[in-house]
Amino acid sequence: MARYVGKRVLYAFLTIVVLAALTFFMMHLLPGDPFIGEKAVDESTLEMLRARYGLDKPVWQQFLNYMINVFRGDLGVSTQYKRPVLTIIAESFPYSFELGIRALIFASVAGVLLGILAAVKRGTAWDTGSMLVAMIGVSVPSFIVGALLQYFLGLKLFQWTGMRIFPITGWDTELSKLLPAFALSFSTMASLSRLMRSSTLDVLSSDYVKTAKAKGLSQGKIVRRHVVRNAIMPIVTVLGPQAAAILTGAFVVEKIFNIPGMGRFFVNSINSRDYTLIAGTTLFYGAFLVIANLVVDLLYGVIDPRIRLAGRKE
Amino acid sequence: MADVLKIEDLHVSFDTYAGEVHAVRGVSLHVEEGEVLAIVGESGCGKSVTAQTIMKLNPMPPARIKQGKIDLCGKDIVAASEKEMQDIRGRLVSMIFQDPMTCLNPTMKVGKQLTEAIREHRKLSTDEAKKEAVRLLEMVQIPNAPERAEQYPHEYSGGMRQRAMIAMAMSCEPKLLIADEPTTALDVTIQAQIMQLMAKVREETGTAIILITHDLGVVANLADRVAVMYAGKIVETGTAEDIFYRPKHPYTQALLRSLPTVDTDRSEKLVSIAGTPPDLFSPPAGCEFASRCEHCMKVCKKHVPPTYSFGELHKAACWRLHPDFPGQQKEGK
Repeated sequence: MARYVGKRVLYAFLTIVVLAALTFFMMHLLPGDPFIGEKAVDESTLEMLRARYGLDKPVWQQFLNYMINVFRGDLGVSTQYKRPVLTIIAESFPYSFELGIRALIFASVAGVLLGILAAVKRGTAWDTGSMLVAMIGVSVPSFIVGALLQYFLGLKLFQWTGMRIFPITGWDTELSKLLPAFALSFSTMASLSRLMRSSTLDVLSSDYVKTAKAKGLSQGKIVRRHVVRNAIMPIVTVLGPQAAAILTGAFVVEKIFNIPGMGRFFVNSINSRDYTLIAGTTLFYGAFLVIANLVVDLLYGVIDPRIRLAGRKE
Repeated sequence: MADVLKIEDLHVSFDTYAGEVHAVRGVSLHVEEGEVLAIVGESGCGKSVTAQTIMKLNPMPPARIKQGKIDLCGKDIVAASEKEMQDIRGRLVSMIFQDPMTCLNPTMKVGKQLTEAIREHRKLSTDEAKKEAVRLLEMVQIPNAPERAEQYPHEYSGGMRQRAMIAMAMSCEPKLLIADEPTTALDVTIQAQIMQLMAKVREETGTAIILITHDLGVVANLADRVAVMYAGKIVETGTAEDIFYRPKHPYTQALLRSLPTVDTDRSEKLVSIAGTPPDLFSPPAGCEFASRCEHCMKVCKKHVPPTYSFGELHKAACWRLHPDFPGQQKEGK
């Protein structure tokens, strides 16, 4: 087990190095550089700036310097914000993370329950209803969901009742966190519920469910004891990448709800050719994704004994 | 002896998009206490459907009991609600299935799956149920039972899994055990062990067994009585001796002819029954075996043959057994 984890960490490390290299060289292929903007800057100033940020050196040398700094724990200084990239991430990530965790928990719990409900009540109105919700969820983008929530629950509800129940934007009170979390979670919940429905149907038609029925167990007990655990594997599989995507900042949702999360830095950094910030946020996202996938692979073993890694000696 | 199970004129159909499949078309049978009844027939003849209907394990819909009576230890199965069935399943009647590789839950310890069955119907504490599970595993001759109970199904061999299934099925000492092709998925050597184990279980617990199989070889050792099914009907039934030594129905005779024996020359081609079973979407008007029968007569295609009795237990449905049929008089008394 320890050996397996060690091996996986080594691979993860290599993955991140490759990711860093790819990001670094590709962003240098983008036309322009951090100092070419709307304002015309004269050539000598540009050269001075480039020299100051080390951009006058060959790209491979810049890359080596960057990697050495990364291993020292220094992601460099953002050319746009004039602040260390690490500080920017440290300040904004907690917002994104909290929003993401809320969305993720809601999406997986509701998605799994909805999927089971649809599968167990297959062919009934329950099935049609929950799959309709899922269909809407996968086809309507989060900014529409967000905007509709703001309009109806934020604005209209306030006009009708005279009470400000859900603030339209912001991130402070408990209630202000509900709408963005729901907007962010909706499409994930929808796709998870569809996945859960099909895998539950698979398990429901398996022989061991028939065995359980032949023992005299009720439908509820069969689902709780025999179905959920076996049906949840595909959910766990997609949850890794989903978690990384949701937790590291959702640009659109953060933007419309005015949440000071990490999402905007992904987008802004590219627009302004902020090399250090592009590399920094991408590396952070990559590391997160790799870790999330490692956690998922370890979770498989917890759920399914057949995949459990042999802890005993050969 | 009293009947554990009595089925009268059972009709089961499946409603599909393509139409109604008449899977079981008027099956009547009974099983006495402690008796082994084998139901023999080829794939798709309705033997599994009949068995699963006894426990109402077929999802309904699409399955539907069209008519008939099933009496299990005095309980009316056809009328029983799902709640009543939950009490009956596992306690009065239990079942083991064809493929032991897939019929145990892969994510639950075998011991846990046993205690679950035990605690569903018997008032035992967790500890007592655990002990009982180990005792059951020992009964089905699983070595190192206490340790094995803590293992998962994938750590068991195929034969051991089928033993565990038998242990589970016997956990509440049911009056009737239905074994649906219990050895089909197993190696020949393991098959013999499982059949021996079932014989032993019957001797020790006195449970009646319905053994469903398409393998006549499996039947010969264990069964007291045999029912031969074809296209949703029982065409012949009798004691094992009747069926093996005095088969009356052409289908039974053909089945027995197609069995290779120890003396069969290897160069000889194995005998098979030509043709395929009828389409159960629209069953034939007359005898369902007519199209494949080498003795087929005009009447066979038009009219369903009545059932004739030969002695108390031996019955067969074929026009050739009619008292007026030439040569029938002397044989059929």
